[in-house]
Amino acid sequence: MYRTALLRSIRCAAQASSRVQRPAIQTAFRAPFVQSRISTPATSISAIRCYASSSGLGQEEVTGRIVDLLKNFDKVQDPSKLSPSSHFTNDLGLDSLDTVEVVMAIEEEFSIEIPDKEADAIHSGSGLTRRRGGGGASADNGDEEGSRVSSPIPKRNDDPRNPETGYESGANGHKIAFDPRDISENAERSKQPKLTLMEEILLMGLKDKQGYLSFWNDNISYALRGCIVIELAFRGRISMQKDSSRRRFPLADRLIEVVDETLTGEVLLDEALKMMKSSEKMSVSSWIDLMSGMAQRAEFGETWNLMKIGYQLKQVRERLAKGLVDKGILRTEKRNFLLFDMATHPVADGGAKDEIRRRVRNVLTNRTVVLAPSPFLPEEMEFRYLRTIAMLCAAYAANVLENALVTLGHEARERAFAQVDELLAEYSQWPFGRRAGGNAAIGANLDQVIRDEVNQAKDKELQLEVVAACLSVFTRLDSLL
Amino acid sequence: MSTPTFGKFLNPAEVINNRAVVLATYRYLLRATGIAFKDDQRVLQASRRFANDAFAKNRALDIGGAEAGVAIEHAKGVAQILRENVVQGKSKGGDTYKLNIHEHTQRADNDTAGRMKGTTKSFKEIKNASF
Repeated sequence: MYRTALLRSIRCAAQASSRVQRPAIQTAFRAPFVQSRISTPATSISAIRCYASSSGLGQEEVTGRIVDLLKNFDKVQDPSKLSPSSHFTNDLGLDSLDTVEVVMAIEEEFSIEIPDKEADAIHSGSGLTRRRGGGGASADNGDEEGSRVSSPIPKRNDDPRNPETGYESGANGHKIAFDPRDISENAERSKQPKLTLMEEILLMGLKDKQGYLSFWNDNISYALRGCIVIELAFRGRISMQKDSSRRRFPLADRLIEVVDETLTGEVLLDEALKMMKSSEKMSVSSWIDLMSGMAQRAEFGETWNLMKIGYQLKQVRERLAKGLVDKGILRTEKRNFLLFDMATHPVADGGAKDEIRRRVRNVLTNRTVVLAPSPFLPEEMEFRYLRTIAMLCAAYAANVLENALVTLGHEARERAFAQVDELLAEYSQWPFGRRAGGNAAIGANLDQVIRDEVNQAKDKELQLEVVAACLSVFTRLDSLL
Repeated sequence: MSTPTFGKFLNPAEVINNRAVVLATYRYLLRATGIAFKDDQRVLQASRRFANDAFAKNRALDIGGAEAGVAIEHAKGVAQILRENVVQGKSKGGDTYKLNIHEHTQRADNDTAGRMKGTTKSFKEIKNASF
């Protein structure tokens, strides 16, 4: 049976404190990055393991003590609604601060310490808890934004828009609580690929077994920031500022603006989006520079601008890798590199990486390119081909493309590289450059397919212009670093 | 006790943008009161009520605004002083008090302590020194 987040964390913490303090360290590190994620199979396994190995307090006793504790908590507005499964916010009228206090009180009651990540996920005495992660971002938002709907105890809830906690049948007939916002997020997400561009690039660069990037690859950091901008443009969040005089400037120096500030659910994208929203308008290349901290480097001759140092996105690789762990594609391992320990992320589910490799080879070797729909490239997604081109160019700029081409013979690989080089040249200008005859042996239909994609979305031209601008920044990458 | 270490991993802009950080800070502060005022229900509850009021008062601050950032830093500073620089004394009858010096209490070596003797620090200085 599924135990609740609360009971589980109490038990885990109780066991952990009697043995080792490992979880606290780990979560202190991860807590700030928690984002709304769908629970992955891996986590439910750990939940079961936790339960199976539990000992000591019985569940009834724990539940009883918690309910008593809540009864004495003076902010509970309606004690009659109190039950092990009442939701702190929805039923008891507690706000997020009160929730923290309740969790603290529980910690003191049981003389344990609940790590931040778990604590953020606790929203009720039992049942109505979110499994994982979401505590940080979306669930707490709900606390204040007035979803104070009293939710009756267990009730099936199939309407994804209804802001009550819902249940879903898990693999073995157990109920899993979920927040319906996750589901509606999924609806948007089904139109988006499972992996973002950044994640695809990172995945390509990771060594399967060892789980880390080549230490000597400087380009990838810069390229990843470029991918963030491209991804935001593809998702319709940013576009070029509509100003006819912009044509006087080179692509990379044209200003971008935020056109849609809805969050994407991807940590890094949202962070970049917020920064773009709150800052003055800047050009594509200055954003990429700022986010990678380039502008601060002395050799670029720019004055040290303290205001702008905040724009540097930190720990991008590490956070992307963590995101991929959450998506079930990587796992985390600790490795010892001579003197220091380092967290590495070996590939757990090879399917994603294989799919990327296959797609890369498909585009770079076949005469007629047809991209089959997959979770990584959903059929209803816009700009499927253009996106793939952007991915290839970014991989090329990040120096990770060759990892996807290892199975090709020498000659085919050379041809593939030449092809990407050409693609980068064509798509780094706006309007996208026409293929000048050239090597029509590969991807002969690409030009036409992408033209169709672009023509179908006339209103999104400004966004595509951003994509082209990013690619044009990539073309300068070799001279940059 | 886990200190909110996010300062190391997030830049200031990210910290003030993050709701989870606010709640983590609140939790950190509550834990600090738990250490400083252990077994003293009256003060403990008063301090927690005060913390709650202060956080509730700033609820309206913009997420990501400079004021919110200052408020978070302030709360962290308060928590740090509670943890490290407040020592609880229990009356043993008469004029004797037993001090509850715990693992988090700031203890400098003789040399630094000697140099600090007679100096008073403002809250701001302590805050600046540690962040």
